[in-house]
Amino acid sequence: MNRHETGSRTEVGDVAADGRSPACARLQGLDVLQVEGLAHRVDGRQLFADVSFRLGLGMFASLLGPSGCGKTTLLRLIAGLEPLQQGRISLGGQPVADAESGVFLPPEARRVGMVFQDFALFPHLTVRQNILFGLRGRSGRDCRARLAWVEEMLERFGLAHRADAWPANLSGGEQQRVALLRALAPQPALLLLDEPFSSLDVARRLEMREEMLEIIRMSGTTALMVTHDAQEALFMSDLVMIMGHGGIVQAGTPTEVYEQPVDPFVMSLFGHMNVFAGRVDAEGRLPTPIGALPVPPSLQPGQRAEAHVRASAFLPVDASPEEGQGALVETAAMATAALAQGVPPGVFPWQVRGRVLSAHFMGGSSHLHVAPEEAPDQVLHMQAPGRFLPRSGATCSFWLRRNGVFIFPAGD
Amino acid sequence: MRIWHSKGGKVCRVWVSAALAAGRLWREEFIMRLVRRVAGRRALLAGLAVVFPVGMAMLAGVMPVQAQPAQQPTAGAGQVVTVYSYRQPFLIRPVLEAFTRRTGIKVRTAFARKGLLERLRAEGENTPADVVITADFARLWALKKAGLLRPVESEVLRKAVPAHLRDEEGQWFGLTKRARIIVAHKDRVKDGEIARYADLAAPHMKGRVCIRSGKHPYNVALFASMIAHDGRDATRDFLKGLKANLARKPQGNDRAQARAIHEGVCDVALLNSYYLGKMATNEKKPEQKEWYGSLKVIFPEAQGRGTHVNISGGAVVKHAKNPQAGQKLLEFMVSEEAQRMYAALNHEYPVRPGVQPSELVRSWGELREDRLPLTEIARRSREAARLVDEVGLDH
Amino acid sequence: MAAASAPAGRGGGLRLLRIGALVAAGLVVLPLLAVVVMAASFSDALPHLWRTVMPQLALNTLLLMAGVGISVIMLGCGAAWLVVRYRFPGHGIMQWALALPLAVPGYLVAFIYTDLLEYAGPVQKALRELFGWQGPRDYYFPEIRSLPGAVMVLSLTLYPYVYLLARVAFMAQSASLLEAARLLGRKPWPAFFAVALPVAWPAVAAGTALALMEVLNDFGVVDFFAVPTFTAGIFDVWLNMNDAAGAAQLALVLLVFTLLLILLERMARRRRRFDTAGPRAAGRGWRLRGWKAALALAACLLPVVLGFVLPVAVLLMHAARFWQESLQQGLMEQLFNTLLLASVVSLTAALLALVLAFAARLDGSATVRGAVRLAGIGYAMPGAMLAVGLLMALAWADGLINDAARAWLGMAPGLLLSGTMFALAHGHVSRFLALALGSIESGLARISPSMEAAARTLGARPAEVLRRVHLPMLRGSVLTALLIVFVDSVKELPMTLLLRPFGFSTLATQTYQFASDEMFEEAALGALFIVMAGIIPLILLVRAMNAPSSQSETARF
Repeated sequence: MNRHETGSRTEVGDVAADGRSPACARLQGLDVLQVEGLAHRVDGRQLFADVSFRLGLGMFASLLGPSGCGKTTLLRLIAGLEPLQQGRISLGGQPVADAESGVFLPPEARRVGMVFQDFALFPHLTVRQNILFGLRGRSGRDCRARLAWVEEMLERFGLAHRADAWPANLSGGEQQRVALLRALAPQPALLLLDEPFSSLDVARRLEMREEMLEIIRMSGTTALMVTHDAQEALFMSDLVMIMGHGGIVQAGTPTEVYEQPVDPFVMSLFGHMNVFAGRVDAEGRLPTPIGALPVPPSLQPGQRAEAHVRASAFLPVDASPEEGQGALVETAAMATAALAQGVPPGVFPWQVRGRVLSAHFMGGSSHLHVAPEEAPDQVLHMQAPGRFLPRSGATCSFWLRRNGVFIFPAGD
Repeated sequence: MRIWHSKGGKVCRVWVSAALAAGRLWREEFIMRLVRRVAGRRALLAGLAVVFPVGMAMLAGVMPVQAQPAQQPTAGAGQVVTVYSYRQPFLIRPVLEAFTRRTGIKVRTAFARKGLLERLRAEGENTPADVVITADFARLWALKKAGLLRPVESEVLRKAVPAHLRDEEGQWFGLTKRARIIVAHKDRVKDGEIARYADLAAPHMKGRVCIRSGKHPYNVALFASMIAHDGRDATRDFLKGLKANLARKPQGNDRAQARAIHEGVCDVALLNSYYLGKMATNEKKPEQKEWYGSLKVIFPEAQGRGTHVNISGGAVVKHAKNPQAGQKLLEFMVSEEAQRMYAALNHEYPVRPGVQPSELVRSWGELREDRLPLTEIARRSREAARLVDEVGLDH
Repeated sequence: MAAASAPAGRGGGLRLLRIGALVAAGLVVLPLLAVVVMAASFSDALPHLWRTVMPQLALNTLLLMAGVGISVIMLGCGAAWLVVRYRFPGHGIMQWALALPLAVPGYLVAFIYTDLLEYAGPVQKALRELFGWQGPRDYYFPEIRSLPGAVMVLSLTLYPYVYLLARVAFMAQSASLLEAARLLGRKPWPAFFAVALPVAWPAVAAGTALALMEVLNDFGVVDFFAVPTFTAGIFDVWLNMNDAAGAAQLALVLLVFTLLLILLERMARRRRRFDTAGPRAAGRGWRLRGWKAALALAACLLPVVLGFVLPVAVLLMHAARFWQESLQQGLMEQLFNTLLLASVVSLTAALLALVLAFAARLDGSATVRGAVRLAGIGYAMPGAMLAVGLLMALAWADGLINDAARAWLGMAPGLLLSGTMFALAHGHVSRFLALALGSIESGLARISPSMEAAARTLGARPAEVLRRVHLPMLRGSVLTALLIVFVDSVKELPMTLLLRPFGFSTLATQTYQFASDEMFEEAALGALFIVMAGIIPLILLVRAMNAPSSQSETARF
């Protein structure tokens, strides 16, 4: 595992504190969650080390990373479900766990809500009893207000008629809503979501994302979600923190992490890629089967480097009518315009030619396997917008978008 | 079959192979016996297999150990007499062994405290039992009432067993006697404080009496004899008085009562005489000798009708395959030799006139026994048991 | 579920299975029917008891059940919870050590505690010497031979039923359930009572039901402690009043009462059925340190020491003193007999339970399901009563065989069934089948019908599905069934006493014969063997139950 220099991580906190989204900027300075220097070992293996970040009030942040990177453990440390080994966690400015001073608040004393991957609805309690579970011990006006809130939420999210049902009889989406309402009912300072959509089918997921965002935004609760689904993280978050290699690799707004990935690992989270390795030539370019790509000035001639090219970086230059319709028309028009002007904006000034090995239709886009002319034994993965389905064996040309190509130094 | 090769499976495997090995041995013997018995008639085998196919399947390894020899040889040697015993086998084993030595007839016993009567009744004419031995007469009486015993015409038994200790129709016989005596602490109870059973209910014994469960056959027999002598109402009053005098809820066995006196829990208790003898001679547990040491023996009713006695008894089973051998066994058990053994080993009173009890037993004094026929008592034992419930003696 | 899988098994195999199940259930129920027949004759025992001691008997029984019920739930659930949820020094040993008291027969514990705690026992003696008391009237000491004493002894020997089942239930519970409760503001123990216990309740109730059935059928302990219970009443009517019919009637009343209890519990549970297992089962426990760890260890040690270590230590002491006498009494043969009987009984019971459970799953008709339910009733009846019933049934069958043989062949074979190993094994199986059935049925219920479907679409015939899919997956359940029945069969006394063949004694019968003549010390070695014969299966059992949890543990990472 290649470890990253700590410098990038000190920066992480700043990104969070700056809060790029308007909502965060407004509430800057009010840190709901502060995590400092967290490290964790499991069975002698270092899961992560020196993790620090801050979350401002009302922010929705996600921890994105592959399974096993420790993001769930991080969540559980914040919740107080795992003993803290090193570092400090503060909620609302008060330390709730500090390995040095030995402070450790049990989970029930932290005012943290959590939506579990399996929802963890209590099977022996009805929907309403589940939601009211965390309100026990309250009394007076506060209690009445919460009860009213619960009834309102049940009504609003279509659960009113299911309020006395057993959790086992609910659909996945309903269970999810109940789990969320249950976590929010006691008005937690921080809401933790552990892969909340992973047990839903794909169709429900999109719908639930919006609905959950709405509920959370309405309640104004600060939230931290763990996910391995990049779409989900980009869609929901104000702040995306990418975990891997034993720590937080990059943190930033969704557009930042997508458009300015700090390394190949971050890139790899956002879809298919083509990788080409080589040495930077004397003119500061990296020769690859799809052309010699210009490298950033930080890379010296002779240095080894890797080009990471998104599948979506390829743009078909021409397409005959039988090969595509609809969305393709637009593409063809673009191509024509480009030809007229020489090169369309945002692409490299050359075309990649190749023989189509196969083409698959995916609804919103088409996925192609192409053998480039320069290196016929290699396979390029391409994702073209709309319907673009040339015959196998046909030769096609493609533009290469500049913003889909990233060049990183490679180890020797 | 992962279970077979797993760790737990290994242990299973050992058990199974052990079971199968043993089962094979038995099966072979069983089949040999069966073949011998039916002399090659496969029809019976087939019949059996039709009647209990699944039973046989279940048998895989579980074959009968016991099977009845088809022809009983009439000569003594090789004969077997089968005994159903309510008494512990080791209590009578020396006597049975002596019997085998004398006659060459082997004895095998099935011991159980519960259900032998039901077993006999269920087995009916197929029963392997020849003789029943019990530790009290109530059970013999019940066996007779259930029609499971056969009358024995034996001059030997009639002479050896006094009339009040046997059934008038010769269906059962007392083999040994035990007196239901009162033991008292030798210092805390003054002479003359207790002379009759009724004194146990007297006001001056308040909080000083221990007994075992009022429903135990020994106690029920005593209470039944009181009904026979004094009538039902007097006995009920006695039981009420007894209950009021108890130092603790009825519990434990006879020895436990002696121990309770020794420990100071109470001052007097009801006891069967032979327990006292066993405690006095207990080498393995010398502490029982101490219990004995703090007691004195009182023969209740010695001045009146006599002390209540119970018996251990025997009878020949109605459907006995070998009634002659069974009768022989009973006759042997009341012979001088056997009676002396009983007296010496168990400290019981011999039933046979002329045979002396052990020296220890004699040292307690002369037993003047209640000569009311046991059948008269047995007739009232059910009534007595109900009285105990009515009074709530055990509660 | 049964309906969904029914088409899977049409054919000759299924018919055979159904017939096998009906016959097996019939054989097992046979002794019970005989008890019903027995009860059909006239007896005035019931009215008599009703007028006299019945209220007292009923009160004692209910108090005993309540006492034992509450304590086994507290001991069993508490221990299971500690062991599943927390990690503390000695945790690994405690996991299986807590099951050990199950190997010690209740009557032995009763003997031993009476010895220790009565007036002349070492405890009171020491107290007297310490404080200079002279006699029993100088101080108060609780009487061990009493209702509370019986509650204590029975709870100490029976709580492992609850412990074993509750432990598995707790292990299967999704860890996030409890975490959710904590995050919603409950401290660990309130979270336990609000979530973990209610969710595990079906298992806890099942374990408690087993324990209470044992209580209802216990005669040894209550007799020794002079606590007249309903069962003691049955034996009183039977043995002291020579009224077998009355006893049978009482036994049936008890049976109906027991079944009613079970039914009530089931109904209460049916109202809300739930799957407890989540994708992420139990997980790691919370580590305890310092005085909390010591407290947890002490809480686990208490029942183990009182229910196992102490009794076994006393037995060892006696055995060391009297081992020669014990060895002379044919101990090795008795050991062999005991192991043999228990092996045969446990294997047969497991096999029959498999047949019955499969039949119920594949067939699912009311007849078969009724037969399966009926086959488990034997456990709810006192062993001695069941033995008499079996005796009657087998003797009747023997009578038929003999009559037929006499008419046909002109000679009688004598008793082929009663008084044989067959009768003995049959009796044990009738009594303990419920235990095996419970374990295997619950194991089968966990196998989803889609697995059957998967195997069938891969070309496996129904019989093959059983062999290649169900049996391997049932491994743990079958093992549990085998071991529980084995342990109980080793301890079983009244049936063995009545049904055994001539000259056949087991460790239990031998121990009882000596103990009942106050020569308990001489039987200590045999008693130790009983305990030992039970320990090994118990440890295996607990370890086998560990297996699934360790799998899910690794699956997390």
